[in-house]
Amino acid sequence: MSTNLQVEKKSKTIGIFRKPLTQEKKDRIAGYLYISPFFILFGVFGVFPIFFTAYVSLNKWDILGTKSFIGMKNYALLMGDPVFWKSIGNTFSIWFLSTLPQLFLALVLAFILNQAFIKGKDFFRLSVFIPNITSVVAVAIIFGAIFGENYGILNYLLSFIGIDPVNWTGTLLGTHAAISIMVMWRWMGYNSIIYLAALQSIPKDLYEAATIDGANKIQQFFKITIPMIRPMIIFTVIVSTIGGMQIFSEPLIFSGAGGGSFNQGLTITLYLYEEAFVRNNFGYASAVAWVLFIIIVIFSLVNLFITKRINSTE
Amino acid sequence: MKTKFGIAKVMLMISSMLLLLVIVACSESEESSSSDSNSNGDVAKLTVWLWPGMGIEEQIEQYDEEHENVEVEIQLAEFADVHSNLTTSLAAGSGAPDISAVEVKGINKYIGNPQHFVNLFDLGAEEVADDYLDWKFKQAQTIDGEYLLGLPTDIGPQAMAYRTDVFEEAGLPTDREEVAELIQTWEDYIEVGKTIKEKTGKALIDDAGGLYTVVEGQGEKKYYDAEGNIIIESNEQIDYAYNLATEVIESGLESGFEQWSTEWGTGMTNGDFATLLAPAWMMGFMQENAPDASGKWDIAKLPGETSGNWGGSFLTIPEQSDHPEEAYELIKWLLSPEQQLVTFERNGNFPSTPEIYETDAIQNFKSEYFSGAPVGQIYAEAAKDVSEVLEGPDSITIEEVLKDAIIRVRDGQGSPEESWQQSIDELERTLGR
Repeated sequence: MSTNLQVEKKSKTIGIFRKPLTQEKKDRIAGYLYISPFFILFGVFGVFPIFFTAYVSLNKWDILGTKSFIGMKNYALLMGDPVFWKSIGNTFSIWFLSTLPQLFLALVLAFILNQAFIKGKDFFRLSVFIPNITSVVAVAIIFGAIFGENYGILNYLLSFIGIDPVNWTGTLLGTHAAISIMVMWRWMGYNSIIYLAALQSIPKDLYEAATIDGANKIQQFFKITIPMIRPMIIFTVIVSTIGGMQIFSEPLIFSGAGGGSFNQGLTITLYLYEEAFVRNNFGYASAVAWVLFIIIVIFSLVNLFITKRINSTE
Repeated sequence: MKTKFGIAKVMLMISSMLLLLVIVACSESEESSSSDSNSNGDVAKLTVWLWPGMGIEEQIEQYDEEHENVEVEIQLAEFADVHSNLTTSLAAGSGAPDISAVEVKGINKYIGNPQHFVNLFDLGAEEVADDYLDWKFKQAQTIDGEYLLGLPTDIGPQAMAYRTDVFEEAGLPTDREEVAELIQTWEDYIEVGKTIKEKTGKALIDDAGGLYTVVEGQGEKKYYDAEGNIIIESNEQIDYAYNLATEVIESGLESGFEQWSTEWGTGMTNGDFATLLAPAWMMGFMQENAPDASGKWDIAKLPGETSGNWGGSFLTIPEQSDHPEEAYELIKWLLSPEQQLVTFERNGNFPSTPEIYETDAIQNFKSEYFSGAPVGQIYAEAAKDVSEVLEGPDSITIEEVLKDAIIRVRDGQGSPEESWQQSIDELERTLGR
């Protein structure tokens, strides 16, 4: 009985090789081959590190020596680590301070750029986008000089309106404001280009009708522009949220690896970096990475929920 | 039809040959610009990782030019990045350079895992051991003395740089002998600071964190005892250094410039602070960061009983190097007493080879930048009472966390006691991981 079955199986497998492939099968194989580079790269650089990080987070490891398995201890320590909670607070504070004004200003900027009376549109469009492609490190160094306490330009300018020098790096609010301004400067142009594209898809006759009805520019902005580009606004909010959770270079250069003396500039990713590459606690850093991952997942779900509700009200 | 095809083929051949020619020309010019080595093959390519301010780049280039069998490429990165990049590439098993600089606190991180480096004893480092200060040479060895990770570059004996113009304005003596006489202890130092503040309104010191490091380095022990136990809370020198640093802050004698910040150099140029506590290698940093202040600074003996040591580095050869022999020849030459003398004369990094301390070249060496001060003699004198200070695997973290306590006091984030306790708590958490 069993031998019979085996023989049958064998003949089947041989049969595959004997018969020429049908066109449909060839197409299928070709299709998978075409998309395979992405999946291979994603597997090597995306999926594998995620699971390897999970494994490392259960160990105590300084990467030069050997790993020792400690179970969930890293997570337990993490939950009781005030610096970690502070870094989460900082991340949200910086995200909030940078994203909200940034998106609003980007929208206003895009609205202005979209006006008919502006000359040299291409020049301005290029100008607003340039900050985005500038090296973050260079930006952070320049901003570090601008926000200097003693010889910084900003404090110099503030002195004209009678404000005492602000210790930007040494106060919580000063650090968050400075980092937020850096983030805003860098990403405002990017968002306004996206908004600009959305604005240009709005039919002109809506504005013409509004003008005839006597609506002024500000009324047009709030009553026509914003409702019409709502999907783009949702998109930028989601992208900024994910980006905001991962703010790294700006605080690193501005406040140093520890995020300042009382961790005023320490974001989650910066804490992760410091634990891994400065203090060489790779197990602990991996645990931070996983918690960050979970936070981003939760936020994405919240975003999704809000987006769905907005769409359903339309 | 046939001829047409032929023409196309010929055109293709010509254009590809032209392309090839251009590529060859490009790579040839690149080769000749980097070094005029023979193109016979046997050239060992050595990459060297350094951070800015080490002052040995020129000599490495000179070695590159003089030796046809090696081609050296120097890659500069920030101090902290050199160490973290090295750790990562050692762990990854690839990407490490042939030679990397490692600072004294950094070398202690690697000593526990020496297999990542070439054992320099295998390459004959025993024969040059006598050239170097005994304690310094031992710092790069494993505890059993079997394994040597690196050869010593410089040491950091300390002195006090001061602005003669600010001292004059405050009605204080400006002669370096008299200044040393005036400021013998750290208590004198603070008194002088108060006078300066009163008369000129200027600060005494750039950064109290620097004061902390210097005073801490004057002690016999730092964070670790000989058995490797952490002794931060029982070490009185640390307590003394911390109290001194916070006292300077609370009396308003600190300028608020953070060391290594962008505006630090500006403050140095303008004389916003009257003194800067300077290990020998700081001279190079000062000349680089404040070139316009030449002739306004002078150097005197450090307050306190001993000079102490701050920093100093090693050159190591990671195990991944394909050319450990050539790399060793380079660092042996570069760190020989003769070449360390050259580095000192150019950049101020003080040699770790005691035999040259008494030579005329050091004793008579004067610095124009420091108003003609006999810096060779001053630092050689200071180097005499530098003794071994034990560092441990977590020295870098401990120093960073303790200095944060001082910065918090400056930024008004709590009293010195609260801030200290906060750092101790953080250390307990961090080192327990």
